[in-house]
Amino acid sequence: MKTNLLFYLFLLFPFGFTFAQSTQIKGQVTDKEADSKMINASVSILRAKDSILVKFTRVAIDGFFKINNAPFGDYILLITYPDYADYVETFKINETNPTKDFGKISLVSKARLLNEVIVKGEAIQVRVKGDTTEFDAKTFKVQPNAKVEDLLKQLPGITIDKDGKITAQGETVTKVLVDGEEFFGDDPTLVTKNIRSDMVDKVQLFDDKSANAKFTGIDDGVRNKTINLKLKEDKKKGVFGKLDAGGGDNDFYSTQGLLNYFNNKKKVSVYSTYGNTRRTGLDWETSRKLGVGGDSNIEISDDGGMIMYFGGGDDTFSDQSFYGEGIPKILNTGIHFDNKWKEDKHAINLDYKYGTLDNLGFKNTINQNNLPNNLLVNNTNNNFNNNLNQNKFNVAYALKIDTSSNLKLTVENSIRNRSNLSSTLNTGFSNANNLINDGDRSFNENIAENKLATTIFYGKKFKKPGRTLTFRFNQNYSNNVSDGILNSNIDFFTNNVKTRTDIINQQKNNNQESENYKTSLTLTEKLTKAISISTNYDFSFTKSLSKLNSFNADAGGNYTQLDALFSNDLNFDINTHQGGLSFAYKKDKTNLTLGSKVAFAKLHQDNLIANTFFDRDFVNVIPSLNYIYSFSKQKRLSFNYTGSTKQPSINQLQPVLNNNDPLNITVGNKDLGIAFSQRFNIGFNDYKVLKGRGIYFNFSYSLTSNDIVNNINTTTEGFSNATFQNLKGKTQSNFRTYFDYNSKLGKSKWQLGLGFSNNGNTNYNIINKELNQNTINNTNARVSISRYTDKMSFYFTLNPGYQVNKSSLQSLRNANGLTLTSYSDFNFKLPRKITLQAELEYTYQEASSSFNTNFSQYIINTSIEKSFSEKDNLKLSLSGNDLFNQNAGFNRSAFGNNITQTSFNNIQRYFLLSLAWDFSKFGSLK
Amino acid sequence: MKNIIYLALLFLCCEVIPANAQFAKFTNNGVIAYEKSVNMFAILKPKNDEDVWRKEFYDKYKSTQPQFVKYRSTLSFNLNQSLFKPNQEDNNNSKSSYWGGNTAQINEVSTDFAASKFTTLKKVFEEDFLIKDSLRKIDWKITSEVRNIAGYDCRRANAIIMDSVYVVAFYTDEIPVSGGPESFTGLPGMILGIALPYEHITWFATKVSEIIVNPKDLTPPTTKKPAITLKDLKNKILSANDYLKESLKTLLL
Repeated sequence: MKTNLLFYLFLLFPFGFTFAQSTQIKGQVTDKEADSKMINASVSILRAKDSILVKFTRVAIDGFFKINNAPFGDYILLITYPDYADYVETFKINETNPTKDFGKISLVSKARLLNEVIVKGEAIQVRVKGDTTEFDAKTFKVQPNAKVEDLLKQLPGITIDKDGKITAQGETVTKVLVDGEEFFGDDPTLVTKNIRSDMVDKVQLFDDKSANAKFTGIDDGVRNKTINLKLKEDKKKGVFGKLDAGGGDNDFYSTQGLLNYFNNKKKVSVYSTYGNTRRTGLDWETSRKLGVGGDSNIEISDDGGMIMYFGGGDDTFSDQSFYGEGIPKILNTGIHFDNKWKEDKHAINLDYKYGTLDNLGFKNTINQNNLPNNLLVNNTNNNFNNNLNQNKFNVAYALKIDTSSNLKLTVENSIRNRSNLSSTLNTGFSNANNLINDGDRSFNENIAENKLATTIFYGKKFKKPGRTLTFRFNQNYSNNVSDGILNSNIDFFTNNVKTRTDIINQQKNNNQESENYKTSLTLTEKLTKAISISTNYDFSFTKSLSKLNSFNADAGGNYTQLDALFSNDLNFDINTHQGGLSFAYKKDKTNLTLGSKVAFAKLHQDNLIANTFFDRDFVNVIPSLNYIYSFSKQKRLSFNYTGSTKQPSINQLQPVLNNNDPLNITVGNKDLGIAFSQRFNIGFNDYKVLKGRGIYFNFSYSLTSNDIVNNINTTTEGFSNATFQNLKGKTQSNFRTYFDYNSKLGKSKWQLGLGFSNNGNTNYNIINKELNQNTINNTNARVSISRYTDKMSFYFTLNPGYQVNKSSLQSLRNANGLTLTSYSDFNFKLPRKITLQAELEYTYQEASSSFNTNFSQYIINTSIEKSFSEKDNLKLSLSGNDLFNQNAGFNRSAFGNNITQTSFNNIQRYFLLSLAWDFSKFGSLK
Repeated sequence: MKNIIYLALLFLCCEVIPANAQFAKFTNNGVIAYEKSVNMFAILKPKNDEDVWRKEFYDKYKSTQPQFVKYRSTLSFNLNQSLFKPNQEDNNNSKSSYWGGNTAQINEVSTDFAASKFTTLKKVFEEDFLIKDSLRKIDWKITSEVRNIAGYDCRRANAIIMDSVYVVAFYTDEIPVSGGPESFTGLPGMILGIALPYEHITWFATKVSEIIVNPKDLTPPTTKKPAITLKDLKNKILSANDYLKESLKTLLL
């Protein structure tokens, strides 16, 4: 292709014409037969050498034409007139003959030319009605390096003459498409002469206009025989992989190995990461390259953008599984297979993953509980040793039934075993320094979890645009069996005198099982060009059982005596029917969606120990409105409203006691009602591409009435009993305001960012029968500068802020104060393939009446990396984590009447020297 | 080339049979409806396998979106001038991705044939520019290939514009106006089909209506801002952002 382009460039290169002062080309055009003037006939002069158009005119009303001032040279005169044969004559003008008079030129009507001469050869009218005729290229034998022409010659009903003219089923083929697109070579036979036949997968022959128009989308009014050459997709095979190992001081290490083999669409991968530097597994890009994780969570938006969905899975090896606490050793390994066949009609994805996580750590928690007339401080020291191992298996199969419908099936099974050992020392004080309780407890348990989930998806698009049908089925099963021993010993004090001791020595056997089935059907229909309608019906059924037996130890130390208070045996059923209807209006720049869903839920619980039951019915209403006005692609205003009812969770309803933490016992309230939340959001964004300037604004406000809040009773001994209740007469609310401005700094490559945010919320809880209002408000400003070039990247941001955190019951105690965070990173590419990288994070929190000291910490991580070998596929790096050993493992939080400060062990300073080797070998398949 | 001569020779050798001369009807004014078609699959296809994001996007695009996107437009013309107007509804529904560039029709083009000048209202992202300049000088290479578009026999011509864009045009001598869609002009008749094979874009006329065009419908676009030349615009885009270099071809067309 490229050579063709160069060829044209060469042809079009202006040739050196010398310009004459006054040349003239003239003549008279008439009809050969009638001898009448051919007014308006098109007269063009083309350069003889390359047919480049030099000048053109039309025959005037007197039947004459005249072209003045054409440069000297060799020309072709081309005269055309509709339905007349072209008149062509070569001539030259030069210094000796600056004028060319053609005299009288006569055109002849095509109607009088012999049939064989007509350009559009009207061949025998043999039409074959029906669909596309398709030939599979591989069923025909051709020589290696044969061209498409040689292939076509073999196809039944197709002939090619010596000039490359193709006739199919008696008709001349005038169009040759390649992968559905017309090929505009200089010569119509270029495709057939130039494309190698082994590149062709299928030869499709179209007969009628509709099939042609369908394929090309171009209705040019002609019913032509068309051949579409469907090329084979690039076929490659090969292996690639990586080995990466590093070791450092303080016993830190990190290793990774991966290997991928692919053969066209078939892919097999194995991988493993192991270490204690918090690497939880493969990064996103690597896992996508290996194909791990199945189908991507990408969707194409209406305007062609890419929407990505993150999360949703239950990946055990994320930061959340250890809350950043402790120094976990994590092994993550797996094997992956995927394949597509029959033109990607079928796709299968298989994954097996195995992993372990061992985390040994300690944590100190100081909790301040603001009671109406009292202030309780609780100091907890906890040592834990948690071990987890997990097996996970998924299968995904996708079938494209035809162009309009597809089917997907997934099955996922995971088996997890956990063992958690925890021992805790706890001391409670009233009004800061009166000892009220002092205890220790240990809880060691083994948990076995088994989960199985199946989904079936079927989607169909109908011929009528906008009419679709979607069916979904989900099945979920989970089983959780645990077995643990709780030992607790708590002394209670009044006026510093020990009043009593509570001792618990229990074995706990817990078995929870739940199965859920959900089907859902959605239909969409386009009513008019602008209005569409969508309706759905969902049915869901859940059946769960929970059986907890607590046994006290008898005199012999055997756990035989059932403690009925902390045991239960419950069956729970939930049926939900949901129907929804929504309208969408889309025209010009306006996009409006309006709809509502209604759900009827029926709950039934049997308490098999107490031999009681209860039934609850809930009606949930979920209205929504979404409005977007797009001024342009880069500027839009949006408004949306969502209302939703919030139904109490099973734990909130269940009248079951749990004494795993004997000082904090929670019990459900079966009389809870439904809450109603409403959320408003206004957003505006405007990005100017040419100026490189963006403005983003967002405001959201939500309020919940009849919300479910905590009702906590804490005794003077520091014993808390929590339950739930609906909040009457007050609404809980929160709001967020966000503004962001960023712009290029003049014409430089520096980017400036300015931001402002203000978030607040008001919520309530009930403490010892009194209503407590908590008010939180955070105000933050942001300044950032950044610069990204090939050699260097730099980013710096500073966020000063002020936070207000107060509760009405303890108005003198608050956590108000200044905050400051700053983050920066640099990346420099030095000569000799050396890369230098550093990041710095600074946090500051001002002292308040709740926290009596300022908190500040800066964490600096750096690394230096050098690449070796020709392809840079060997890399040696030295990285330093937390250079100044500042990562204190410290956290402060305030919620409701509770203010909590935790400190824990975590990863601090270490240095790691690692070597990474990337390898690959690729080849082409024929 | 060979065919032209061949044909001419045939014509010269031909026996003449007397018949009534039926002169063609020329369309001197009217409105032409065009359809631009863009092969998104070809445009979005990743150049190498290493670009994981793009590959994911492309695979998803291919399995859920149509291969061709269409944009309608009209060209109103008389013997002296023409006005090319894109269909705004199609533009509003256009898809543009990070990799796909913008394929919507951004130009409203008014051409004055006598003065050999054009006035274009060009929407470059958020900003409207009024461009006034001389018609682009295109070295058309005339061929003998003929095809019928919207009922008109059109002759094929090839050219290279903007240093590297290969253009295939089909023009008809039945409309004696040297115009065409967008800024394609300079052939001895109206251009009813254009293909940019390497950019995977085509324009084809779907309908030609011969009507008297109200001069109001040929009014050149205006803006409050002063008009600039194509060269000014090029410099403006290049100084704005490095990555816009990639879109230069489509923005300057």
